[in-house]
Amino acid sequence: MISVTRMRFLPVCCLCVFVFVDLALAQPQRVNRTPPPSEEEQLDGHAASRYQLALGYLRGMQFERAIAILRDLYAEQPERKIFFDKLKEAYVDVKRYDDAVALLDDALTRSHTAQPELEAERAQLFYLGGDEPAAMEAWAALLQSAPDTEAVYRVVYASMIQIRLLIQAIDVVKQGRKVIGSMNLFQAELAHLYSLTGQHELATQEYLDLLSTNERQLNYVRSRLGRDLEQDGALEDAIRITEARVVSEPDLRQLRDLLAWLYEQAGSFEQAFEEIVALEEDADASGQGVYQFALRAAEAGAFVVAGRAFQSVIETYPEVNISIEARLGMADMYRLRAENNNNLEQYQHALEAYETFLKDFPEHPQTPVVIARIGALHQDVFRDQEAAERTLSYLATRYTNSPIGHQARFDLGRLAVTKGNLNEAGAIFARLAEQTEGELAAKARYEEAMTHFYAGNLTETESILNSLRENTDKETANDAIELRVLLMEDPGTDSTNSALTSYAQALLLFRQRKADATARVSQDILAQWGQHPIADDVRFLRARALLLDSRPDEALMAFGELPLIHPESPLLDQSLFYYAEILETFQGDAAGALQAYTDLLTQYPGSLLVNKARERIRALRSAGV
Amino acid sequence: MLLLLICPAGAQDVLIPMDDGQSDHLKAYGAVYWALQRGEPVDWLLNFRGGSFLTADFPGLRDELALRGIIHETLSGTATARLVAEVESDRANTGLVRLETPPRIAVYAPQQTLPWDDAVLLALEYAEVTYDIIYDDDVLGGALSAYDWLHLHHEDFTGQYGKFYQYRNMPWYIEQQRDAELAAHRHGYRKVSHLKLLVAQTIKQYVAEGGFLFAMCSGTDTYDIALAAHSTDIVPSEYDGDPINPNAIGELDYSASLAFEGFRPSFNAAEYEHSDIDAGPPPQQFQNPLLDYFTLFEFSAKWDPVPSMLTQNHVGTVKGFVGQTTAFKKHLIKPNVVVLAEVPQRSEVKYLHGSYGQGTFTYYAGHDPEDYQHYVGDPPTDLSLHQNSPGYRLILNNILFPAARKKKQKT
Repeated sequence: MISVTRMRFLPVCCLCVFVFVDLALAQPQRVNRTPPPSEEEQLDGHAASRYQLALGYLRGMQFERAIAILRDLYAEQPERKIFFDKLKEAYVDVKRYDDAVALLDDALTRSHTAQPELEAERAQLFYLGGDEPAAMEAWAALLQSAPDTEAVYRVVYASMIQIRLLIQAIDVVKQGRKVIGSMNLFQAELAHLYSLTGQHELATQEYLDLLSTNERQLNYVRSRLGRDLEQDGALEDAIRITEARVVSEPDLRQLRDLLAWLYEQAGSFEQAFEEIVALEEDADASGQGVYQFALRAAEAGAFVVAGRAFQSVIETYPEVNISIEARLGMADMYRLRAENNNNLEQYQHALEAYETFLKDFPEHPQTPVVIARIGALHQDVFRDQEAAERTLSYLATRYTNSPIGHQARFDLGRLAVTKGNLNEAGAIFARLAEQTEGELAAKARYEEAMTHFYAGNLTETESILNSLRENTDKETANDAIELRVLLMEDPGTDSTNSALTSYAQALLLFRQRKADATARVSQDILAQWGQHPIADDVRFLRARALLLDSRPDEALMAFGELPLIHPESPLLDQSLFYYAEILETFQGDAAGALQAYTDLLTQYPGSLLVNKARERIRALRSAGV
Repeated sequence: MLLLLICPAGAQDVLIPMDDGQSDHLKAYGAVYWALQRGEPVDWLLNFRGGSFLTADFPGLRDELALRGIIHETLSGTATARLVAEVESDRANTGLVRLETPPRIAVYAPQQTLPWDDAVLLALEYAEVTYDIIYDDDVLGGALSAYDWLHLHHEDFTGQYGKFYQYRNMPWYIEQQRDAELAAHRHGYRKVSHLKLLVAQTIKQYVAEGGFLFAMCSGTDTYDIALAAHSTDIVPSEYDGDPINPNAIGELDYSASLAFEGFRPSFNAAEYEHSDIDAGPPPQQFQNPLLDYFTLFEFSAKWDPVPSMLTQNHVGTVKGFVGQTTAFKKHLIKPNVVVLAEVPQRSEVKYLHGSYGQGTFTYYAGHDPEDYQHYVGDPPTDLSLHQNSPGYRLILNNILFPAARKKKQKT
């Protein structure tokens, strides 16, 4: 057992080593080309060969033979650390813990200096041997031998966690703090131990203490906490404790900074924003913190709070460059929010924000993207054909050979279709298909075919569709197949394809969102060619047009009569789904809708709509229908 | 998809075919379970159209089958009688087993979320079969008596935390280790391996008293290893703080294990392998989902209904899949164990079954039948993309098999 007197020498000896090292470093450095011989290399021939033999026995798991040799070697040269270490290891390997303890006792008796590591190991061996009281007593004695020495607590703590005595290690470290009288000691160790034992609140507390005393530890604390937060309940605990700490120490910026980061980890961007704003108010802020937060929030899909953050940058730092980027970010947030909930007012805000940005910063690098977004809003949301044409024409001319210019030309083609300028649209799509490659080229080719179809040029339509068979993306390929199937419908006695060309006109009207006209033309087709093979397509289009024209009662009837008139139509599943949706959404007939969705599953189990129907059935059932 | 919907007047029964024409084999098991829960008996037509199911056309059944996307046929009383006669005739290797009681199912799994999926939980969830999750405290508290069927998946009964030593600093590992240690201490043990041994022995007693045990992946071999190592220490110091017993191999008691004997545990803490029971991944040239497969044995439906039930499928060859335990070495399997599926030309077994006391055990090697090599952190398999999975069918065969327990078997 080590004596208290010997322990007191330890700090002095350490100091001597430090002084020596310091002096050595002060001398000119010599290049040491040959490392000093290892302890094993220093052995004489006989001892070396016996030692090697013992190692061989250990490798062959012949422990008793190895132990016999090592015991002799140790008895002959007890100062040789390799003999001591290997013999101790061999005893432990065969679980002869009592012998290992005796060996340590012998080494401690021979030692003239304090050996806290050996003392701690001795305690550990007691524990492994099943003698817990002796182990605890040995550790306690070691601590008692140098109660003011921080290093001894560390040695005991380390030996305890090696055998997973985590709770006991916590007690040791806490005892060290108390005895030495410094609550700032062992903060990182204690935090780690608390985390390992699932005491996340206490772990956070330690990290916060560490951070309170040194703000430069923020990144360290984040990295350590970040690893722990993945454990169940850890994030919630960390937030709760940090919130309380921010209240009690509101002036410590680093705590607030950590809290904001924790909120972000939890996806609570609103709360994180409040902290970020508070941090900005307290400092010589540049707005970067809020701006970077806005980008992170936007990336995470928290568009509302991201918009508020961008707005805050714009209002608070109007003279700083990032306020320009923030204005663009703000416009994007309006647009993304509008897309999420199809909100026309938000779309209007987005349009105004983009237009103002363009007016104020015409030379900004993102200008073409902004113009394209404005064009898309005019065309697809507000259906303002003139404004869309003006914007898209500018883009197509100014950025002719860029992807953004190509897309603008494609959109101009779509616009021409909407306006009924089929020749112009066809020419645009044809040129684009020639001049570009990939998905856009295929889409342009398909749209070119559609312009011919709308115009009643069925031969030309078929010819272009045939050229689309290769290198086409899935969506365009499906559309092309659908159109090709329509063209292949048996015309029966309609040798002039009058019904089909009339149907093409009706489809064009529907695309132009002329719902009433679509319904009328469809009705005319049905009146004239009611027995035609495409009559089911026409009837289906008419039903959709009635729905678009806000005439749900008539639409319901139209969808409902389709299976009665055309029992073999491939459109019956879609028709039934629309029927169910109208019952559910417009008629408030949940029970009827449930029955209709169920009928779809029963009657058309192979339909692509069965998953949607199942979703609705489950939703209605869970709503108590 | 070609649909067969026959609705004769006066239909009395519904047939759920389980051959190639079935749209969703996995949901079909759930529908059968649902019918049993409503007190409606179901006949399992072994080896008939992939192991089809026949039940009375009770109210709500067809709507439920439609909702779950299961193809079914309605039969008149005459057609049913003809069908049953055909299945029970001696001319074909077919048979009929009546399922009466929905088995009470327990899955042995920790509450903690671990970064890998559990094929059985996925199958039960997808098939909409109800189950309870139980773990060490429940098992030791006597909860097993409330269940007919117990499943073990990627569990480590040797107390080595799955031998994921390389992940020891990951939060999920730390949490797993902490929870296991706390549980061990709660039950008065210093070592997790001691707790797990007691759990394994309790489960074994449950089987002896008539329980049905189904295990997959490392839940199979670690269970047997733990039982065999009941009087020694095979756990390296990296996991429990002290070394293995020097004579650990000699101290193994193979009579205590269920399915394997003569195996040697791996004592290397860093090796992601528990013993030589596992044949490991296939040779390099076959490590390809397109080339790796195993074959199911066909049993006599009339004379061996139990192995027949467990191997019902619409295919005879099933694509292979890797796990911590991928396949069992044939020469380490006890002679009284029935091999249900093997890897051709490699002397490896994928699926086996045996009896112990009044109960049975079934081991299925591999991790996820539809994810050839499931790595830690991979997302769980979406079974809606594998509705006809033959590999998952083998799991679900096991949940229905206990439903037939009340019937007097011919074997």
